[in-house]
Amino acid sequence: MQPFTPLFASILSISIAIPCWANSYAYITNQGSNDVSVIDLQNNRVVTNVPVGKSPVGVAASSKLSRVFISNVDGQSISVIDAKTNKVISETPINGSPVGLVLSPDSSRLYVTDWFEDRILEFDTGNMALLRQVKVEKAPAGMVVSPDKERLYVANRDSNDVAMIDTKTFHIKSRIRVGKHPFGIAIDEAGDWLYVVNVQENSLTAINLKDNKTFNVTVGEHPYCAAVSPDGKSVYVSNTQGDTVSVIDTQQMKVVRTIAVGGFPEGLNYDKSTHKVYVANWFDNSVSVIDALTHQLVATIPTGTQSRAFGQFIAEVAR
Amino acid sequence: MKRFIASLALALLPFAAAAHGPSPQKVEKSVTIKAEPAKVWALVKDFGNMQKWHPAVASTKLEKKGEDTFRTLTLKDGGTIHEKLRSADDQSMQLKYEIIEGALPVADYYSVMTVKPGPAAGETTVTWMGRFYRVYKLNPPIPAGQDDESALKAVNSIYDAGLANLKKFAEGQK
Repeated sequence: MQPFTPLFASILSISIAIPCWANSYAYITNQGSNDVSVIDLQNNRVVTNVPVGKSPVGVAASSKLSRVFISNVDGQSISVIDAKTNKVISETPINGSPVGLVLSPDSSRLYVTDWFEDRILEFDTGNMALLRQVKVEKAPAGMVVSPDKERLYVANRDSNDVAMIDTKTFHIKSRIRVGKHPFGIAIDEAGDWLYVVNVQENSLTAINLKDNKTFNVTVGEHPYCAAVSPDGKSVYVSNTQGDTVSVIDTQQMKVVRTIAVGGFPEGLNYDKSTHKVYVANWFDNSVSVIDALTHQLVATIPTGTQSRAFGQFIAEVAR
Repeated sequence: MKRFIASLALALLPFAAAAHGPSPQKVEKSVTIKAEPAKVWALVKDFGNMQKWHPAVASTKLEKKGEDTFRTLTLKDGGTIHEKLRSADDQSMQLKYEIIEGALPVADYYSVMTVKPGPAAGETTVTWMGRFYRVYKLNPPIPAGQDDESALKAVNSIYDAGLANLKKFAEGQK
């Protein structure tokens, strides 16, 4: 028998390493119907609706774990969905009102904001054990973790600032003043720029994390969330009372396009696999799909009621 | 409806700089009116005269402060609601406003009234939408009267009574 040549062996190992059936999915929390709509992003079809707790809002989807974490605001718990089967595998009660969720870059940690108790909770994603907590005032909402996993940034709605927490010590290291009522927050892939949405100022604060310089960009009415393109050149902002998405060119630091979407758009994410921006419409019970290359609205997907999708809601799953 | 409004707290509920909870509630109601859209829109967009068509409102006081327009509604059973006009767009026939403070068990209330022609010729459809939060701003347990159900009940009854009477009034007008 012929021995495998090194080239043949390396080709074989490469093809085994690529998950043949991995696909991108969006997990949309439906605050009104208490479930999560799972959308296959290859064909924009809802695969199933997974029942979770009461008033699901926040979402953190992990490609690495094939798991999706959901915050049930009124149910006061975190539901964990196995993305391979789309079944809930656990529900962890929270003594508070969990809203914002974010995973550490390696998916080993889940951070949760407790809206009324002004604190961040840290969970081990393996067993959902509560590890640590830190008090952050006031009304912590959206969060992101730096790509080097060392810094957790939190938007504090009622104190008009962003707190930077050292993930090693779990203490607040600094605060950055932003606009009025910051809610959504996004970070670019390089970890150089932080983008914070100021709901009551109709603006976005862009923070250069290297020199801490800030820039203010006026967007639409009552904006909630932001998403950054992989190349960092565009930031998308949902304007809840304008029913639009603002497209910001980060080199010019201004809005270059305003796209009409559904009623009360909230959570939005950029999908790398299709170069589309998906935005949940709370009032219309749907998801609007924007082509990021043409900035055109290309589809509207009916979902459950009062869709919010607050957080990182897209993951690649091999099913 | 009148009995319900009377049972609401009559004291003004101030909105602490729009601090609110994390789960907004939604109410959406529609009515079809046998009257021309232009006539119905004229009634809806008349921010200073809500008492013309809403049965719970005794009088409306309009106020301009710089660029902004406000109104204070005095309810027939006592209590007032202070509101800010956000926009009244003639092209889309849409009125947007928010509550600053008032005798309703809601927080951060924002509303849109939309007037559309149809379904049949000579008919108009009015849709009234509200987004708001409950009054109670801490973790559960939630005191009675400050929960989501109380907020929803109040807004539902205002929309039902208002749209029913708007229809009667607009159809009765010559």
